[in-house]
Amino acid sequence: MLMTGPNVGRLDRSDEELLQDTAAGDLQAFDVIVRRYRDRLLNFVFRFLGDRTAAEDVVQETFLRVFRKSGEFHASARFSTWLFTIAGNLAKSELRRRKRWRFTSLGWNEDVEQHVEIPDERPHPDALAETEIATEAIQKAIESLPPNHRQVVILSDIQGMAYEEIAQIVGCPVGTVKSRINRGRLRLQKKLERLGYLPGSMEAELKVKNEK
Amino acid sequence: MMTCKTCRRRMSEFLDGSLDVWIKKGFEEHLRVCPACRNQVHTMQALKKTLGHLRPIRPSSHFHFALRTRLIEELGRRKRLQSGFHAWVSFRRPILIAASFALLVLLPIRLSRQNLTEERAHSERIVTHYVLDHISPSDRNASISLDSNSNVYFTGPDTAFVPVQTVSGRIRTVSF
Repeated sequence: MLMTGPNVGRLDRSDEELLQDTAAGDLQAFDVIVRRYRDRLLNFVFRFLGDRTAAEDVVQETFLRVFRKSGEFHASARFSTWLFTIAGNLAKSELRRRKRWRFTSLGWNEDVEQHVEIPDERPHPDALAETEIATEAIQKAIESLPPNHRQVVILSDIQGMAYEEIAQIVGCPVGTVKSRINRGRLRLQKKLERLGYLPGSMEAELKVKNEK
Repeated sequence: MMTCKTCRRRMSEFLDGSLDVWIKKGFEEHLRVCPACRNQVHTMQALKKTLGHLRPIRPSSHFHFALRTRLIEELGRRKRLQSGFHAWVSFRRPILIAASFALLVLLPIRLSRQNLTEERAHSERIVTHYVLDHISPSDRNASISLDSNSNVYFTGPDTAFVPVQTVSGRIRTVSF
């Protein structure tokens, strides 16, 4: 979705105004919303699911639902909160679906067919880089967290949201959010330490890598 | 003095800067004397920064095309819905739903009430005792009207049909 001529004038419009235009059938107004939020949403869902393709599907579905319900949004809540709530719920559903599928799939393999696909164990060129391995380890550690802890840690530490906004997104009191973030971080810390990754050194490496 | 357990519980709030002033003071005092907690705070701080520095991923080129296609399809569907019969139905949908609901609920009630009335009318014809002799011809109309709520049926101002039970138990209608 490229930012074409008529979209330039829409850039300074608020989310709510753009949503009103969308409800009236203005697809270009919705393009601006998509551009504003797609990266943040994609990173949130990707960190939650750990699968890029699935994350893109969830983000697309999120935008589609917002587009359908654009006329029903009430300004009592922030638009971004609403958007992240929808994405979070869809990501959780996807996670449940994948768990069920994995379970069924394993059963099918054992009972019906003996053929097992042998994974390609050659190292991926990107994974050879030290930082990539570290990033992968962090992602695995994030995925090992319970979904409720995972969601709030991602929203807080990767998305940089405040406790109050997170509480609105997950539909819990602020106290519960604080406690989940703390437990999530402690678990994550323990997990990474067990894997031999010291967060201090990783942080420095990633910072250098991203600045390049 | 704050304990290590409380310190661990409040660690994230301390790092996020959301502790009350007096709790923060106690927290910092504890850190000064507890190297284990101090170390843990440093590690958590590093972890928090690490998560903040994770390289963001970008959507694939397919993402934009796929989303655009789905949005255009949705827009087309919306337009189809807003035209012709769909528009008529969707505009009157609440009324149609209410009417269907009323029909589904009220029709069985009406039918059952009709059956009840018929049953009641039938049972009212069966009279176990009625003393015709005690009603003089001049009082018949008055008596009939008095008893008409229970078991007496009249067809005209001077003629009445009263179902009575005979000695043998049979029901017969007496007119007078």
